[in-house]
Amino acid sequence: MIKLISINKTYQIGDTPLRALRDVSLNIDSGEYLSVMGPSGSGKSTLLNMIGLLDRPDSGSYLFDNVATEALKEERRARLRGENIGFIFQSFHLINRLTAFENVELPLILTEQPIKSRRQAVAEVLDMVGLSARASHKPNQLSGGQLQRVAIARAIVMRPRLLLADEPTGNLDSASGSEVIEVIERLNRDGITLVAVTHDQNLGDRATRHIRMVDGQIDSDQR
Amino acid sequence: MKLVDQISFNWQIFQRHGLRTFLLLAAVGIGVASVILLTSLGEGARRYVDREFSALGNRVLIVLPGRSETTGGAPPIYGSVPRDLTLEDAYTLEKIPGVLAVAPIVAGTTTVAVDSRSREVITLGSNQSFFTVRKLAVGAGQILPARTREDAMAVCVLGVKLKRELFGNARALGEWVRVGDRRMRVVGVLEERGESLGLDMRDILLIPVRTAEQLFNSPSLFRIMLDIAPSADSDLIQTKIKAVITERHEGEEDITVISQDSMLAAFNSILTTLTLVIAAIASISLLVAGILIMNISLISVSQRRKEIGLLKAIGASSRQIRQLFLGESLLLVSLGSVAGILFAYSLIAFFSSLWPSFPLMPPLWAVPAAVGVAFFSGLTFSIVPAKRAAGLDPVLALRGVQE
Amino acid sequence: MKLRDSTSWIFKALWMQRTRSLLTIAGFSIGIAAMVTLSTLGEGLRTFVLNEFTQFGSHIIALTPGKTETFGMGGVLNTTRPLSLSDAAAIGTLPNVEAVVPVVMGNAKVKAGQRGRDTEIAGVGGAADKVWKLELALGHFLPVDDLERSRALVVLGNKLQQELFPGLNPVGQFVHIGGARFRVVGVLAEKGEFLGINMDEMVFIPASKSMQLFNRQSLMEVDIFFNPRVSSETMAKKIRQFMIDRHGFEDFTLVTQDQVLATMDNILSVLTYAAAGLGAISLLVGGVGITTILMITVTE
Repeated sequence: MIKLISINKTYQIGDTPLRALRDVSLNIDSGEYLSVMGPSGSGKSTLLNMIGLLDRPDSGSYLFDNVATEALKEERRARLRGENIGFIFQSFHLINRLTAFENVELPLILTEQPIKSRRQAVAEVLDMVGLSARASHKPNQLSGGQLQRVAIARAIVMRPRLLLADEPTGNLDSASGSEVIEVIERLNRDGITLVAVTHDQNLGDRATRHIRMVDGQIDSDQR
Repeated sequence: MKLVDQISFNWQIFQRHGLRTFLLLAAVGIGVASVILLTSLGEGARRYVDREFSALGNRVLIVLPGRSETTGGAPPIYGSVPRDLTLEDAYTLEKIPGVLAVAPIVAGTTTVAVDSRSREVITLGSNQSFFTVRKLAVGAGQILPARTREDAMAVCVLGVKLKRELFGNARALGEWVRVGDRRMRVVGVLEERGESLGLDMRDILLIPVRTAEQLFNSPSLFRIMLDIAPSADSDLIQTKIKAVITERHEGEEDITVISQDSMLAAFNSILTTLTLVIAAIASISLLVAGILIMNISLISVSQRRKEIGLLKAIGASSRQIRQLFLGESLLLVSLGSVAGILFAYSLIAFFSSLWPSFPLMPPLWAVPAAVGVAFFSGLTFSIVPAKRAAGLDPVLALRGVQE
Repeated sequence: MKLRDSTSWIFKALWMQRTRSLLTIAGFSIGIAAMVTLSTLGEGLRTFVLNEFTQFGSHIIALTPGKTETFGMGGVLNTTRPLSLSDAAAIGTLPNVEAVVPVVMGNAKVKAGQRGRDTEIAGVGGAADKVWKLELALGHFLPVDDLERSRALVVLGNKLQQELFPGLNPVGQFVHIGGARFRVVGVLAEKGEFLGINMDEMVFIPASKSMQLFNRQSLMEVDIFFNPRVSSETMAKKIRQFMIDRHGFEDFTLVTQDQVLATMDNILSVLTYAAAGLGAISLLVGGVGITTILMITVTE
């Protein structure tokens, strides 16, 4: 499903260029469960953004379903992202003025789904993450674990085939963390491809494929 | 994104920033309201003049003695000419087809006295047709008798203010007043009516035209006013009037004919221009409101970087982000315009109840123009912020990094 | 905080948010510019009009027949209480009165040979050129002689001379006005408009001839120019008393130039305020802008 070929990415930070990715090549099949680990600044977040089509490579090629994405227009990439990829962030990135329900509803609104099917889809995913009772709460009324589960619901409401998680348990206590891990692993068992960037050895170990990055390169890739 | 969803999305932002939104609405509202209010002043003045004229009946011609060929073409206002325009001249005009009534006017100032009370007033000498042409009616008694057409009867009609000054609350009808060196009997008192074309009808004295000729020792008419038939061709009648008088004056065309329509048109064009200028000046405030919107939008974009990053991450394209921000400005301008229109109309209603005689009302184009300028200004000044939002790098935006 | 410290603090804060500051300033300055421009225009108009009015000096009193104020029409209408040439002449003999100009205006055709022109006729006195600062291109102005027995002489406006006597010297020639014959004694230099009246197309004849021509019993106005060392009030009082003695009671109106100027000034000031107010709306919106930005800055 995902094929990275010799991806390079350099950021200019002040005067010094920072090579975030060096010649990274990686294949990910449908339904895989990957963890990406490594020290800070090793390029793992950049790799995740690259896979999530949020970033463009300086050189190299990224085939998503055999489509070369680096050549696509921004519009097309946005649609590909919206329809196929779900994101989960360490800091949740929920919009404070919106209720849990409305936050989850956002991707559906952006793609102009009819209201009726929208409500049904949101209700379904909120049920899936066990938050049906909290639908009308705003983010400041929810606990950390609940917030991340709302974010997961938002990530999967479009029925994506790929779920990208950037430190999903980083801001959570261990109990909430395990709840979240349990939810995303269940999604993986149902067929979704899961890529998680993490510092959390516990989470990293649970994956079926472990990638370790050092200095913008894939240091090891173990199944 | 559907329109309903976009509006509700923007609306939630407004609710979140209540005060800021309120101030922006106020800015747009003040601009729109001031355009509407100020133009309604100009339009009100235009309507006022219009009404004054139509109170005369809309088909009135005025003949003035004298002619001026000078540039600028101001009509000869002095009324003094070598060859008098006479009552006979006036009555000859009655034969022209299409002329319904001819009111000759001798004008002057004179002293009116009852016992020891005396006042100096504008005195008009005319006949019954004057009441027809100027749409005047008496509140008590009767108008000048029919015989005043030719006879120098010693009768007069008083304006209401003049009547009060001379007689107080006592009965004036049938009483004698001294007018200059003559005595005249009061036969009527005009009904209460304010100014008409700059002449305070409450403070005048009306006497028969022949009496006025004798009183002022002059056969010269100050004006002739004519009522013409609604179906008549005004230009044709004006030509005929000139021809008739020229013939009577031994080939000299020494009169000026003004149609009420042309005077009205002149007033209209002056006041319309004035209204447009005022509207343009008031629109500057909408420009200022536009700049304010731009400023706030830029701030909003930098405050909502993470949100923009997130929207991009969940599949929003640059175009959608741009639309979202433009939509926000549009919604703001719409609400501000509505507020401004409501505010303006309620003020207009308020002032109208204070001064019911002044027809305060915005011209038809005022509301569309005000709203149009508001939208133009709002949109133009939102392009930069919206572009900036759309161009944000989602990765950096998500981290909340300022570029 | 010391002034210097607080100033640098403010500048730093403004510089950090320079787009924001720039836009706020832009909005506000458009408002200020609108207000300043409009009030300047109003003030300019005021100065212009007042200058027009004071160009003949401010020691003028206008005497019109009748007691009522009728939009300056008082002298134009007929009256049963006429103001005569002998009234004007008598006022001329009062101490401190420097010049008296009787005025009777009218419209008539001026003819010279085959050429004719309908225009405005001003019946005046021989002192009119001096007090109205009229300059002559040819010949001289009407002579200062007995107001009541003037000769049939005429002074032509500049443009009228060109129309009636193109390329010729009209001095000594005759023109016909309303059937009477007048000898041309002078031509005015180009003057332009004064308060909407085009002086270049006027004809000046003696007031007594004008009264005959137009069959008027009364002068329309008498302009009295007096010694600048005497105040308007004193002079007006004297003239009023003098005229009451002559006519038996007050059947005339005196308006001093000071009163005219005060009225004009009032009207034009209101106009200026209105224009400034119009501009102030933009300033108000600019002010709302500053409030908004301050609110946001405080919240941040």
